[in-house]
Amino acid sequence: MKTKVLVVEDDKLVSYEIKSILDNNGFDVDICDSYSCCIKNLDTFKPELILLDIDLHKKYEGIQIGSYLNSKVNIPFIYITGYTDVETLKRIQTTKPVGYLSKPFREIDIINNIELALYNKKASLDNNKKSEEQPEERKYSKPIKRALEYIDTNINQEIKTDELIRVSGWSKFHFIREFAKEVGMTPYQYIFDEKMKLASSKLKNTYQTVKEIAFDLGYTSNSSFTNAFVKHSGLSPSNFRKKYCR
Amino acid sequence: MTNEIKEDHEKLREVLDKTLHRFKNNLQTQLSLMNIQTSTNRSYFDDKKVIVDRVFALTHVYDLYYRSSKGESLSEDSSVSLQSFMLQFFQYLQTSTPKIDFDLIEIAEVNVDVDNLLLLSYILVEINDFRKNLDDTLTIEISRKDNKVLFKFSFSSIENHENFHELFEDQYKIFDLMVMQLKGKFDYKKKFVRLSFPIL
Repeated sequence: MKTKVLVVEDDKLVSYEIKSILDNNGFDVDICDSYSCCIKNLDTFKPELILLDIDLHKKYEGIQIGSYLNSKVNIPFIYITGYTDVETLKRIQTTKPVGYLSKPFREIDIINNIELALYNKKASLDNNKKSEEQPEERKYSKPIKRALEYIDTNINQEIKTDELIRVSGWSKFHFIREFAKEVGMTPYQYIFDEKMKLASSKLKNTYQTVKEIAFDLGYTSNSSFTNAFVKHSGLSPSNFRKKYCR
Repeated sequence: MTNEIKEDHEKLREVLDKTLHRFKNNLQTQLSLMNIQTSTNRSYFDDKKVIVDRVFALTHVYDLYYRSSKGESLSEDSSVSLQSFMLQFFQYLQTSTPKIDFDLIEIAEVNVDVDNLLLLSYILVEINDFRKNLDDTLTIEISRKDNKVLFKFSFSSIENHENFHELFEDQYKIFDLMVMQLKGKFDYKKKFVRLSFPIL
């Protein structure tokens, strides 16, 4: 069965060329030219790998997609771009792509990058399988692991300590003591840090307004989010965005 | 004063970064065109001339882009004068191809994005190759209507241009892709073919 590759590129000539190269090398290819088309194709086409241009109709729209892929779905992606400046490279690193292909590129560059990404994906899956079969010494106890998974899944909402206690199955004091021992901070601090990390990433890589980001992270008001962010980074969300997004 | 110098320096760096990024994308387009012509079996009447003309179009665009970016205040805009470019590019084409007549009608105020101008010049290079294939004389008229550029062309030996597409159907893929990228469209009339595309 052919490997499915989604190409997200708004330049018709470049996307046609990439499609021809991939067709000739035995891949099943689909083309998209926007954020919404890409998100739709994740369900309909089910790609195993994505080639992603950084600038689509909007500047940095590709990084926004990369950010989504990194946080929501486990599909490897490779950026294709003419950017080589340090600021852009720093920005794309936060979205954890498996590769980076600089324009102008050759056929061999595309194929080598894809083969390497697919090989790494397979190796990582094999490793996960092995670790499932022969579990190493666990870092976290099962109740704490359940609480961390709960936080990860519900990071976009207000997370109450009572809920964490419930999923852990422990008593309140035992849970708080064990959490601090295993994770190195209190549940409140951990949730706060995770929310602020996500907020920083969204401010750097998306076009969402501060109000939307606050809402996405479960804050009921703009000012409570702004106060929290200032406490975390020393900058207001809008100043943070100005500083890191050129 | 120091702040002004700092701001100018940052702005200049921004323009240089933007130019480098744009230039690499334009080089990618050149490579893509060459690869697409292989994958679609597009055979040119004169392969070497087509590639040389594309490279010269790229050079002319960047000459103008560089000059327009040297104004007193560095512009965020990446557009170039359509008239200046076309005068320069037609002059270049006519030195090797006297069989091209052109007319630029009231486009002195029209600025076109660098990438779109390059696509337009590559379309012109394709049309010129069709002309050579026919051993014909090509007439081109460029004008503006509202927020659109109209690019009309006709060949002296073709009586009815409504058949133009059928005549060159096998060689049309690159042409079509470039027009799609320009968000433009073709109209085939008896006396001419008209390409229209939007400008800012």
